[in-house]
Amino acid sequence: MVKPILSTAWKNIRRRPVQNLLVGSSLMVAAILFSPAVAMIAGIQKPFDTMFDRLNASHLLLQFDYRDVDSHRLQNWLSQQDEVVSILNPAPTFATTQLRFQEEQIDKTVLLVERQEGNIDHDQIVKLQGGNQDHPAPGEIWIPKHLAQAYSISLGDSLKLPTGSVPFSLVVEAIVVDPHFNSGLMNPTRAWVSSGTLPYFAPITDLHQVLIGIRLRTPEDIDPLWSRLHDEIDFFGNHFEYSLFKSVFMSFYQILAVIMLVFAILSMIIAMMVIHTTQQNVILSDYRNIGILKSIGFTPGNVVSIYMLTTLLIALISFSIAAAGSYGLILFILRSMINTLGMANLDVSFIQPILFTLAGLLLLTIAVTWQASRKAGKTSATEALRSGQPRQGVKRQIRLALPLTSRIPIEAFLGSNWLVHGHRRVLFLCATWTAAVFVLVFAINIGYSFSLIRMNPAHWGLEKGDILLTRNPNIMLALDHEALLGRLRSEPDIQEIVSYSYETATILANGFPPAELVGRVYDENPKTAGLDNLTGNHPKRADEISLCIGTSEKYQKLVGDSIQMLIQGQIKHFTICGIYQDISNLGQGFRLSTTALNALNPLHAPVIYTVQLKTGVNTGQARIYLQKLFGETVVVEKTISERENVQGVITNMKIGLYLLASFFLLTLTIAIFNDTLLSLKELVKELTILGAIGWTPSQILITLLFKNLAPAFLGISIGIPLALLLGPTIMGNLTSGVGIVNFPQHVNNWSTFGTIPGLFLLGSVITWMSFKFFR
Amino acid sequence: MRYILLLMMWILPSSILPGQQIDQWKMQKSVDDYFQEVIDNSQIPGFTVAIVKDEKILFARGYGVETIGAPKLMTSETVCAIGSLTKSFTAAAIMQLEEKGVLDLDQPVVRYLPWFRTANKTESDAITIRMILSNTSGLMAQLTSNAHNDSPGALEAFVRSLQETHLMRAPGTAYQYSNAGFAVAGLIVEKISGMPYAEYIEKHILSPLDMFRSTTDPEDFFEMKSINGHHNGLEQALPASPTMPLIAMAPAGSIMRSTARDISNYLIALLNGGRFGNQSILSASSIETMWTPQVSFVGLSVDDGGDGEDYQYGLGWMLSEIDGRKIIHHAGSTGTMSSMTMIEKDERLAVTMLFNLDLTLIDKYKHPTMFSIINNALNTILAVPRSEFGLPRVPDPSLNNYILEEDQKTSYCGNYLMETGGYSWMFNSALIQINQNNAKELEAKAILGNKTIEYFELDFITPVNAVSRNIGLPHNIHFKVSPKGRVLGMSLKGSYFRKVVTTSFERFVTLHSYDSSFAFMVSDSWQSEWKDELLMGNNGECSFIAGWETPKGIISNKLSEHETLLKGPWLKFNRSSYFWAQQSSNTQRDKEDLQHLLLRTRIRDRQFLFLYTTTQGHFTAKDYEAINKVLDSIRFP
Repeated sequence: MVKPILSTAWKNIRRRPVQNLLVGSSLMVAAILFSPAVAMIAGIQKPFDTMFDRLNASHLLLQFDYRDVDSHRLQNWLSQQDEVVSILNPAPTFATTQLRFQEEQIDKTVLLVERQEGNIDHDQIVKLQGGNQDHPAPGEIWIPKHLAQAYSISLGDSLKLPTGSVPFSLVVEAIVVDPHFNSGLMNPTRAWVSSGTLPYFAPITDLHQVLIGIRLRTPEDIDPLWSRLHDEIDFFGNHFEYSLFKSVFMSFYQILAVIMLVFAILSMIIAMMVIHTTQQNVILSDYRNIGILKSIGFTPGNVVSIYMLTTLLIALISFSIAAAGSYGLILFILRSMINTLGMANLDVSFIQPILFTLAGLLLLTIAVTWQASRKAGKTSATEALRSGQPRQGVKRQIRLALPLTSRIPIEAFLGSNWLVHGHRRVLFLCATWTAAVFVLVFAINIGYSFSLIRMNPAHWGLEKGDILLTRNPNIMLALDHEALLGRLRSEPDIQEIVSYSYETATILANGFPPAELVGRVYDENPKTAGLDNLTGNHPKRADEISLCIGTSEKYQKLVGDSIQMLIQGQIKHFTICGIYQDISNLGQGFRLSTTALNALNPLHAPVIYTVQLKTGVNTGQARIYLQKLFGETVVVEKTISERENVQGVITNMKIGLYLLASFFLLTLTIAIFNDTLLSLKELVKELTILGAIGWTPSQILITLLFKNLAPAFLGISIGIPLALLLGPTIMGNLTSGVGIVNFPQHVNNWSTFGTIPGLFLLGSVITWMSFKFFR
Repeated sequence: MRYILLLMMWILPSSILPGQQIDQWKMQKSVDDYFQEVIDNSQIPGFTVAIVKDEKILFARGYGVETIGAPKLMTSETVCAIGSLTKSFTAAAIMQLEEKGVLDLDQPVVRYLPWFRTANKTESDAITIRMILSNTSGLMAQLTSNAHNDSPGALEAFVRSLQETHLMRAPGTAYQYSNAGFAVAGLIVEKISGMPYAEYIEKHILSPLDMFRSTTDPEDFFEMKSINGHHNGLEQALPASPTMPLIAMAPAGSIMRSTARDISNYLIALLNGGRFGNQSILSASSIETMWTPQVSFVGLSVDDGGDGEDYQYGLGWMLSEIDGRKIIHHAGSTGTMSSMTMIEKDERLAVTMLFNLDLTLIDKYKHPTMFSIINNALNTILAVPRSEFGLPRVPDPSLNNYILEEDQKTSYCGNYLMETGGYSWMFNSALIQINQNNAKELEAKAILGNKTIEYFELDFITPVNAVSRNIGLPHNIHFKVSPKGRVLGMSLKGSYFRKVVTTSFERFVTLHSYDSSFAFMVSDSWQSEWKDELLMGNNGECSFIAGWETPKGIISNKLSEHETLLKGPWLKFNRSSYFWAQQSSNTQRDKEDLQHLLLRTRIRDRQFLFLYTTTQGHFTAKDYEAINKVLDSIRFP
């Protein structure tokens, strides 16, 4: 019996090339997307940790001025600690923002570090391109891969540094993987030069910074060591630790993996629904043949096997192609990603995740096919041979039960009939419509909310204002705070002024090493600038403070708790009166009132002024006017939210969101197209009858439109409110890491509801196209 | 001829000039009484003053002494620094070139200096000469380290270095006082006239105006017996030493020296359509252009004794209304000397005062300000009551009754070395020493080289905030402390001073030259010896050679014996009042790769060189520490 089953299955495959192509391609797309996503998630930690261990990388980098910290004492102390495996000799370093390639200034702080003799085993550097030397030669520089990629720098190119006369050139000798600064997302980054190179371009009197690398037994040793280091050495300088390097690397990696997984799951659902509907469609059209097979002795199991084998054969062909495709895609994605991040190699096993994923998908395909094919096994041979189609009593009952059948147009009536006829596919279509509408509306409104940052900066933790003034107290004819405020208040075009200054404090919390934090000290109630709190109130009294959400979470402090800080050289206990969100400092910071700071420093005065103009006043002209009026006593700037770099980030974010929405619209397009084709195939008999009774193709198209646009209506009805309701929650979770817990969503009514006719139009066009294709 | 005229001026009694009316004698008496009162009741060691009316000098005299502790009196011929009044000379030079038709005020700078640019070329291309002279170019206010250069090409090198800077504001939009801008104007004068700035000013302005005791060339200072001025001390001024001239800033006022009498000639020319005797330096219309407001800026605030009204800037001159009079004026400040010149155009009256103390830095809450002194001089001349203009109307806001705990005081004692920037160029690379005096109070000395450039007490207002108290303006000082209370450094006048801690050097020795012409400190692990008049040191890993370069170029020849593999550009910087140039190189000798760092400075026409050498690849953080220690400790007695 095996041979007839195989032969029938093979014939089935050849008989329905379009449908099988659809099933095969759906499975292939799902498999191609799923395997890399699983591979990436399974191996997400591994490349970084492997690379870090293999390169013997320091878990802790300390950057300090050798005049502040006695490096010999520090090294001696470190060498006596149990957690420490090895310590690097201090490497002279110089931070510059002046590095230029061709005429372009590199928009990054580059730590130029001298690669010292004897430091080659610890913190190894892998050369991706370049010669075999252990160190750069004089006049040469080794740069990380991401820097080379970002500025299209090749081996042999020259990077220039200004010296006040002739710029000093450094020739790129190697493009390397730096175990710490391996991501382009990190600023600063590091480049290596030979020992003694720094005085070629920087006066020796500017060269006091050194970098020490410390390799520990495990990354978990960092915190206890760091705390003791503060206590016993009173270390003062910058430090970079393992968790920072890893999180910078991982954040990009994780986001990419999750996005791929989401797409993969969606593709898989679509593929399974395609299999299910296609299988049902095939069984329906093979109904009479099934009767014949049964009458010649095929058991129900044999019949089910034929259909399962048909799908399995298609699946195997698809998965074979997908396996190769997945492998290629994983290689491509990981290589491009890892190259971007500057990693040396791909120590991720692809085969295992691919095999597991394909096996999983195969099992799922078998399950879905079996579920869809069961009907074929249950088919009665007599009935199949007699009527050629299953009894459709229930559906007809539903169709006849419609109470308004006599009042609605015949096309709408028949469209509804067709809709009910393929009710399982309708569920699938409705789900696709809902998902696409959800993502589209989500993208529109999230993008819109981001673009409104300049209109509603306070929602993002930024002061509401049109112009930012910074007072310069260090000139001969300076304006003091009161004088400047007085003059600003007398300007007729100014609505409101909020003045503040930045203040640095060190948080002293049990169980945490002392950490410097920048906060703002407001002269007026922050509410004047539209600022609000997530919980609690703004600080008013000298002993009150509000914390940004990230700081509050890091130190596990809530409203009513107290926090100890070293501020203005004095240890002070503040009571937390509020928790707020602020995007400007990645969720870290604090707010104080001038009262609090004046109690610590009576000479404190604000230097920054956020100016709100009256409605209708031209911001650009007002900015020029204020600059002219106050000349060198102030610097007049755009507010943070209006600055080009912020707007650039917002534009990129919107592009990303719209790309995501486009993907879902594409999926929707394919789904409608497939469904329409399948429906038309199922309805061949009815269409023939309709043609015979004089129906024109336009009438059939209208009927199809009624059938297809009903799920659209449902999808839109569910998708839009769902997106509006869930959007802020989803975004709040995604942006909590950057200090925004309550995502300030603003609904763009025109675009949101403007999509409705657009979506209907899309549904109509696809229906028309598939109908045309069918004909 | 120049010396004959000079002699005649000395012979003539300075305050008695023929042809004056009898009421002028009264005026002279009243102004003399007034200036005497000023010198008696202030901390100013001395000043010189000249009053000009129409075409004549009404009054010219000196008050006080040239230098505290020395008997020589100030006269109207005492050569003082005029500071930023030089900007009016630079503007006048530009106007002369415009009159000749070789320059247009409204043309962009790039027309005359095609290579001129800032970081944003589009913006700097829009800068015109008028913007430069009216302080609206947007060029930075403060000097960069590139200004510290004493080589002959310093002016051009500085202007070229502006390519690395960003404009503070868009060109032509707002007032931004800019020394750098006037440096650009000075270079334009050089390029168009084909002669150095100093030579042009000498030939086309100073000589025609018989300003024989005026110069923009530092070489003339000694011959003209230019005074050095004073720094701010605790109770009185401290005599200053000659400072290194900032050649690059000459057109902005870093160098020019003059006398009250010479300035009088300049003022006579300005009041008389550019004519002085038979000479004419400028047309009346050019002077009018210079005195036409180009831009407004914030004037003296009410709290500071002004009327809160804006001032205007013309071309190299400021224009204000003070006590109801329209005044054209410009002040100058050099850190040790200052000047103020006011012109009452309607009365055709002008006063210039040159001080041997920088009055822009004086404690305005205790002592009369420069604005107040010269404005009341005008009031006295015009026989109107004195006014309160320029005297603060509010008490010193930094006064307080906080007392620092005795046990906290010692933690602040120590040496603090300047690290970054700041708006007081006087403090550039200074060392601040904080000590407890006999009364256990904290006091500080700012030291440059071996000279004290400011001496003040520390009046703490909180545990980490203090105010400097001396005859100068009170300045806020903020100490940075670690969480464990260790004092790390202090901020003063916008500069950060790092507290010097014991570094890896545990013991130092001071090495002196055989003729005591220099001395510096090195770690005691170094072995040193004298050979061929050079000090040579070696610690087994590195070596140095230090000494005065001879005509034969002994030290330079040491390097030329090697094959040069790589040679860096000369970098300029200053440390402890010395200008240094630094050059790195890599060489090979006998198949050994070596790394060198050559440092040189010019001290009184002699070149001091310090050559540090290590094996290639062995230049470590310790070597940076060693060289910096030498630079911080070196002295040329």
